[in-house]
Amino acid sequence: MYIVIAGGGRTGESIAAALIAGGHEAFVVDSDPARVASIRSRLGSIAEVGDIASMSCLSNAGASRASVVVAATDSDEDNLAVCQLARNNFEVPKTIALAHRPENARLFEVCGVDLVVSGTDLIVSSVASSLPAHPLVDLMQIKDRGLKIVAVTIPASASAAGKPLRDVPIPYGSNIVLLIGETGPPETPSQDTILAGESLAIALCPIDATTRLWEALTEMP
Amino acid sequence: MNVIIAGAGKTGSGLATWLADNGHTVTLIDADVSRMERPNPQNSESGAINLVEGDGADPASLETAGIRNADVFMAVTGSDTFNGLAAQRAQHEFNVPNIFICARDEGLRSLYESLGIRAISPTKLTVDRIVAGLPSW
Repeated sequence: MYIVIAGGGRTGESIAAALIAGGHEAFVVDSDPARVASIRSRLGSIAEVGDIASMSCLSNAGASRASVVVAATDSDEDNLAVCQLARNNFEVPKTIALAHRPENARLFEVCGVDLVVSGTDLIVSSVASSLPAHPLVDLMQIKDRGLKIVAVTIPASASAAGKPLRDVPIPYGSNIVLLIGETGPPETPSQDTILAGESLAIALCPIDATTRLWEALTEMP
Repeated sequence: MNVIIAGAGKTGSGLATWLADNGHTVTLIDADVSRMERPNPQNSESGAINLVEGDGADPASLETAGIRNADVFMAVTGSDTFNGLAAQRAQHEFNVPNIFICARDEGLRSLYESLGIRAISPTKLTVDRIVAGLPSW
């Protein structure tokens, strides 16, 4: 695959390094010559200086043959513009943007970015999942299927705890794909599996049904 | 008409003054109020010019400026991509019916036009005007 990366900061450079290590071809564009020089010294001639939110620069970077464009500059507005130019003018099949400000993450999705990575939301998810509360943690969105992968810890005092899966009213279309108990190996639950208290349920769930899933697993009797 | 303008530079200030002089209500948003070239409405019939210190692409600043009652939104800062982001927020999150922006880069200008935003390039206007004024030979 050929991947164009806008932004050669820590994120852009790490993505490029990971892709190259995986056998892909990556090209990085950044407006800062010092960053470009640093990438070139580490990864070879795969970086150029340029203003990526422009037709000429995307064209020079070979956007028309790119399978993916990743917009990971420090500027949210540039990240959106890069993805929209790539999609509308170069027919890039997949665009990925970093949203630094959480309020921009949803807007980017509405504006047609295929995958939005929100730094703040990732940190919030990671902190939330390690707190002794029982929040619904968003792990991943499968946008073109209308699904989300989420994690919920089942409170020991919840109605669902101690019941077999078939007796818990999880919403239509959702599946608990993995159950990770406090002890013992993770298991793929069947309808007869007992949902032990304090076990972590990883579920695939329609985007509009995540709240109902969370209620089914955490509601107190 | 209720008009909100993001960016209080020469373009934003000029637009605000003209609109206020013609009886419209205008709110200017800019990060640095002291940088604003404060417009002076000329006649007594003129509408008000309100100033909001904030980020013209930020939902909270836009709410403070009254975007929910806006008939027109304009983003005329010096950054094409900032103007584009602010305009798409006004379009998708606040359903503002009329949106205008400044976009100097021709690729971005035509992109934003294709997304339903009136995008105007000062560069293109200057070039067109000069070309039209050249003597024919």
